[in-house]
Amino acid sequence: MEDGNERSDAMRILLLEDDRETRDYLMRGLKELGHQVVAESEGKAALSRTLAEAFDILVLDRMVPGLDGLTVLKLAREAGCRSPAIILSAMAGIEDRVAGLEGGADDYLIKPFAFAELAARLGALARRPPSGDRTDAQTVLRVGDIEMDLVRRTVKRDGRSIELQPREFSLLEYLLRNADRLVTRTMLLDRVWNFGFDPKTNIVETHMSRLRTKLNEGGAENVIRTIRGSGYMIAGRARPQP
Amino acid sequence: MIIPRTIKGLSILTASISGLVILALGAAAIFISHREIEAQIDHRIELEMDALLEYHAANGPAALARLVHVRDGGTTNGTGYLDGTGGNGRMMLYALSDASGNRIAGSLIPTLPPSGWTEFLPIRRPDGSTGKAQALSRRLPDGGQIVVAGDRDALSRADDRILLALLAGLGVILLTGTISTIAFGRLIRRRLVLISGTAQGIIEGDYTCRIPVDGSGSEFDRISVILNAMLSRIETLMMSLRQVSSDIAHDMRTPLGRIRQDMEALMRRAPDKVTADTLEQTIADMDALLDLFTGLLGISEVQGLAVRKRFVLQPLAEIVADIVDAYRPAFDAEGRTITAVLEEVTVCGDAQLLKRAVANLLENILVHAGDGASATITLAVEQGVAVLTVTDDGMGIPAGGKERIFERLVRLDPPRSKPGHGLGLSMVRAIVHAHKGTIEVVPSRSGLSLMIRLLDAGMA
Repeated sequence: MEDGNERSDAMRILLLEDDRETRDYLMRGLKELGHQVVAESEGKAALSRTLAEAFDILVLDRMVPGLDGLTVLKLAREAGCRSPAIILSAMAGIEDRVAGLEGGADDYLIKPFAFAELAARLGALARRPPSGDRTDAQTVLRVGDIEMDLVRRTVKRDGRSIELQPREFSLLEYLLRNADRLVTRTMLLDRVWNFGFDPKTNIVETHMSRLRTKLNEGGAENVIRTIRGSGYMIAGRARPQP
Repeated sequence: MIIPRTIKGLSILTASISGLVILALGAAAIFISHREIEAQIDHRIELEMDALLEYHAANGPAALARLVHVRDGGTTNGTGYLDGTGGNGRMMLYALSDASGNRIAGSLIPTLPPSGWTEFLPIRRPDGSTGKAQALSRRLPDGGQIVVAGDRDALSRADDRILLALLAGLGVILLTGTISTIAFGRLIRRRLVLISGTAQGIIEGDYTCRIPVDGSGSEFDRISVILNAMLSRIETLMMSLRQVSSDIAHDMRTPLGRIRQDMEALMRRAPDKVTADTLEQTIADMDALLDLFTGLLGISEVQGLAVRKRFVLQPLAEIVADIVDAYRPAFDAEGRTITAVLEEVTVCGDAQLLKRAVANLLENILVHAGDGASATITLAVEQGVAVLTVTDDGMGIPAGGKERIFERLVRLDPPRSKPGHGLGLSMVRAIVHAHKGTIEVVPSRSGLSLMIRLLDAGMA
């Protein structure tokens, strides 16, 4: 089995979590991935930290003593903080999620979650340009022998043109933008299909298999790896599928 | 006797009864006054008759003839309150004949009546008009006949006046009665509208609605205050129920999160594959349990209708098409087909919830319709209503399942062999209801057909 959590560019992360066991667990995991983690267990302290120091990403629990995580985020956003933020919460209602995203969070992860899910989402968030001045200047995505033209909406593999359905195009685009990173099923549902819920049918897998068939036509090697139990990854460097 | 239950019915009944009472009183008044006036006329006739008979006895037939002639031809007449009410001021009429029936005096009574009282005797008046009279006829000792008559004209005039007064009174009473009934009805309706408006708000999930009180201390104010107190109590209970649910959710998720962390950590250090697989399965089972819990809370949340505050206009055809496209490969992979015919329509709602509803319907077909069952989705606009029909050609549902299909945790496949918790269609129904729509099982040739009706918001 391969380890899906690729060692990625180190980030400076603020972690707000009042449950000591969870905090330690997350800190340990994130440090293993090479990140630098500053942990706080209380809202006001986390807010002061956010305002005083620069973080690449904020990981905030919602229900903590002092200021709750969402208020910390709102105040930080008002003060000009534009670091991507992910809320971790045991508040799992439909409205809770909406409130979180409307409150300035870039992602909302419900407890309990798989650590791999958090790591993957942090990786995807870190890649995003700071919200507000998204330029999307890049018009061509190139990963390995795959080339995607975002303006003309065309895909080529090794010079061979590939016809994709709009959803397959979006799916491939998301994978390419996160090349060499783990992309989970729920992330794809969220970002590609904009599903704010978890369907029981594995619609990601069925679409993925179509996309693979189209990409691999003519005997080309499989570039989209399945990471068992976690998700998918498109490899930038050519490597054989085990 | 049926007592009306509406204000309108009660008002009509009250007005009818008072009208009837007034009519009865009026009829009695007319009857009594009529009899009284008639008696007055009769009395006067008797008095005059007596006077004339005495005159006859004292002065003989020739003098009587002269007197009758003078009286009959006279232009002034009468005594008492009836004075001047007759035609030309005439009230009394006289006639005299001899023993052989020849007319001696009096020309206004064309036909002499038999002895005794005669009512409605035809007469002529000095001005030439005709009328009816009360008449008393007597035999004279010499065999002649004398008739004294009183014109009934006064009587009918009096009747007319009383009737007129009665009708005027009745009109005034009915008019004021109608106006006050309408005003009363309006007052009640205005207050009832306030109460029903508040109730509607509560039904729609806004537990903060209260009935306005105007401080008048009226019966309505008093009942409103009591109802408001009840609503406050309900709100408190609802809030604490929700708080408990979300507290439980939180307090359960936090320790489950720790367990999950521990198991993940253990899995990484698992000495062998069997242990790793067992741990993985345990985590999956725990996630399934949480999924059930989240599903149940989600349905309650949608039923709480708080989701409505985020409703905006949504292109329903686009949303349905999106979901159909998302599920098409899943159908294809099993060699099944999914067909959609969608008409553009706008509804007021939440895109995520509408998506979820359609997704649940398609998943229901994938899981429960049976091998090879295909799906057909149509969206049509019919008279301001968006009608979404999702039909499969699978094995359908057992008889009696129509009512239970939307209930929570109900799965109609007997061995409960299929995956899922039986929440999918409950969620669909909750979502449809939150959108003020309806969902029902409609007859179809085979399989199951569900029809959702939502208001076409594009019409407004």
